[in-house]
Amino acid sequence: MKKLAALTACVMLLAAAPADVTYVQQPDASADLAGVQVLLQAGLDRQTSRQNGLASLVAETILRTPVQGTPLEDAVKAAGGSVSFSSEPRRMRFYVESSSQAFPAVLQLLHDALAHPDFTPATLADARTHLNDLIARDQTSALRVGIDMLNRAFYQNSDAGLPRYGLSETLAGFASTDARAFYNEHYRRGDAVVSAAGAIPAGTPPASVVDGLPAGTSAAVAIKQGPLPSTSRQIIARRDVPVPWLVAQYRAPDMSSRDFGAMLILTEFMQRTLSEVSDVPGIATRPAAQRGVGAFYNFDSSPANVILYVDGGLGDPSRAFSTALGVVGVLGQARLGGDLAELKNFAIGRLLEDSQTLEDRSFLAAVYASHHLTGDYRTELVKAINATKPADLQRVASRYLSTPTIALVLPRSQQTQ
Amino acid sequence: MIAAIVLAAAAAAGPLQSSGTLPLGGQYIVHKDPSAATTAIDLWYRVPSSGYAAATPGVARVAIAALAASAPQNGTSFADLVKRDGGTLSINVYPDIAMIGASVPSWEAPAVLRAMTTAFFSPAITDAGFHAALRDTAIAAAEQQYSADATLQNALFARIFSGGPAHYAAVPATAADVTKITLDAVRSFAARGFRQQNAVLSIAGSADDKLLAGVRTSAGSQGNSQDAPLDSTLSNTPVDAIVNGPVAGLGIAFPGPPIADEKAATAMDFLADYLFDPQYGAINAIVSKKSDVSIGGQFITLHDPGVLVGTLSGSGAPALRPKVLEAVAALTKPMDAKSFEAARNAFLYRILSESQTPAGRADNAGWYAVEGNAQYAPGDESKRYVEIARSLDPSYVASIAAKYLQHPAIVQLLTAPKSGSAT
Repeated sequence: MKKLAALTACVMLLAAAPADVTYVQQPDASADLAGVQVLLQAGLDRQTSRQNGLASLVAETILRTPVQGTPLEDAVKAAGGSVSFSSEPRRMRFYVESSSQAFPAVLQLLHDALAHPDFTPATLADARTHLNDLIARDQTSALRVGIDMLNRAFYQNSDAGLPRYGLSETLAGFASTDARAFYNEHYRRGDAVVSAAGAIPAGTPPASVVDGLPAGTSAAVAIKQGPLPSTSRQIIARRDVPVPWLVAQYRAPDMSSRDFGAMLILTEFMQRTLSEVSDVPGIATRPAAQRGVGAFYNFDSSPANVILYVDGGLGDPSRAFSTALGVVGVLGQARLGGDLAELKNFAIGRLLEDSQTLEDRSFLAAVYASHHLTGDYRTELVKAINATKPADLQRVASRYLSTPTIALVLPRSQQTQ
Repeated sequence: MIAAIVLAAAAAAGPLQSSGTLPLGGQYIVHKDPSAATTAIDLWYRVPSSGYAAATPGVARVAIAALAASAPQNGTSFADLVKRDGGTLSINVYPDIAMIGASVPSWEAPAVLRAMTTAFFSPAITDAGFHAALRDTAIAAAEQQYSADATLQNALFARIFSGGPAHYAAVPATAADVTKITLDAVRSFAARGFRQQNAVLSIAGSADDKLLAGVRTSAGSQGNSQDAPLDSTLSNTPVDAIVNGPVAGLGIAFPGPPIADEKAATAMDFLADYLFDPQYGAINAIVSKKSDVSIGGQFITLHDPGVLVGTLSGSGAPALRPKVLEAVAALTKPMDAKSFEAARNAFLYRILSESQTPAGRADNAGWYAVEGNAQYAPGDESKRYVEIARSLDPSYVASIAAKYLQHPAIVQLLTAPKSGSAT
């Protein structure tokens, strides 16, 4: 069993945050950098299908908003930092990071751009051009294409599953008034989560980054979308990719579910099984970017889901996938004997290994805080895993991992069997 | 708002950095991070990647992998121990140095440190470990053939260095070359190179004062102090060559200052970043967004001399040669103050980003220590590197460009089936 006492709980709440802002901070005396996540309820689920791409266009425009005469992204870079956004099904996420010394200035730059975005036609056009480049890039990523296809079918009560940057055709139709209206409705302080990590200088309250936004909260656009018009749970697309990819999606328990810990273990187990079946063998650990297979658990999303992927460059992807499914099927049918110490150790180790950067640490703390849990994600994750029993694993494997929806992304020239 | 107040990070007890000598020789450096949940443990050695007689390309790579993969009788190999608990195992071999690294949950650190120092301070290679290492290195060799960056750097180093370890690639050119390495050669190499006295132990992340007590010591049989840095001999011949490869590319290199010339080396780091940062560098600005060219580059801080290497890979890369040389030449004129300050801030941020995780910091500290200047590591608590970087000014940087960036070594990588030639 893990020695929980050895794990440093390191998140604290600061009283300096505005009353309506959720704020968590992980101070780190040994860090050279400081980073802040800003989670706003202005993601894909705030769009209607006719607004596909508008959420990203607004965020990209903020990165290009002149602050002190220079576009935000360039100004942050010149000050010694970086700023980016991530357009997600249930939120818009900004992340800014810099050296501790530059942090007050960099934070102020983001504050100013968030509070006073420039929606003039010129800045909007600049943002649109950049998003079109990102859309083109996404179309060459088989994993991204597969996830987009699956998400479109997965989210049935909102448009959270629309392509994250929209389509060139929809982007072309948005005017300054559209962007301004979306911003006014959804960039609100009342449902913002701010999470800071690293060497945050004294006297710089990171939560102040959102105090230029109006109070109040934003609401998702409710839609009703039927299930896939087919009994098949397989979606096929052809793109300019060199080899076929298989991407599968399962519905998964959310963070407050009693099944959460078991699904964390199963996800890491599937990742390891897929690697053993089909990845290039090696003595050293392959970086994530070099792996041809993978599994990740989007427990921060609602509904939560698990994604598996297999790159066909390593051989027939369906074979590796079938093997992994077979192993999971066995887990769902028969209870494992003994305790799960080895699986738990492995799962905890991978989770900790994959959450070491300031960006990852601040993101996880923000996710936990936004679910009204403590921001101490480490203790919570380890606790959930350690509480899992063999019967839980069997139940969760059986309940969630029996019917994936599968996306096949094929090279344009390849025919399906 | 959050309903609960959670524990605050424990204040670090005592200094965050310590360093010294291991009981039987060899250096250690420990960077504590009280907020980390993982511990990174690296061992770095001064060893020539092609062997002490430069006759066995890849022997260091095979030896370090074999030690990681060799299981003691009725025991678990070091590699399996690290991976079993979800840790990350790293093996990196450069012409003059080699490292094995593990990043693991903090509670596993004592066991991993014991296992690592047992495996590497008393080298014992099993048949199974040796064959696993041959297979692993053969895969690395096969993959390297498809990396334009690696191919270009190897081709450049082979030409700008006429002798010494940097003349040879750390990973053999083909998988077939790997099979020529014998178990005897690997055992002999390991016994000579992987001695405790020749090691730098670099630890970062969650670490308490008792951790070092777990180091397994071994007197070793050959040599009782750290080997001298393994320098290479520069060739006096201009380099402008064409080689064949599976992908097209363009490589450019400039021998630079030694690690001891800290200000000049930092200026070269700045110049490499300014030119070759993949996203914001000056070379990226001359590459069409629609082209397939990707960019990489760095100043490799070796003991003496360091080398600035830039690589462009993709079918459009060779045609960019004139523009790349033009961009390099422009650096001999001082930049305007505002542009320079912005570029220096961006450079410092990227340097500091590299050591933000325990694994990054251990890697960073280990590299600089084994190359002969531990206090110059960007993550060192002395902040010497950061202060030097902040002291750089446009005139000084231009003077360093004028001194070191005048005579490029150039290799073009072509996919056409031409025979290799040097002009």
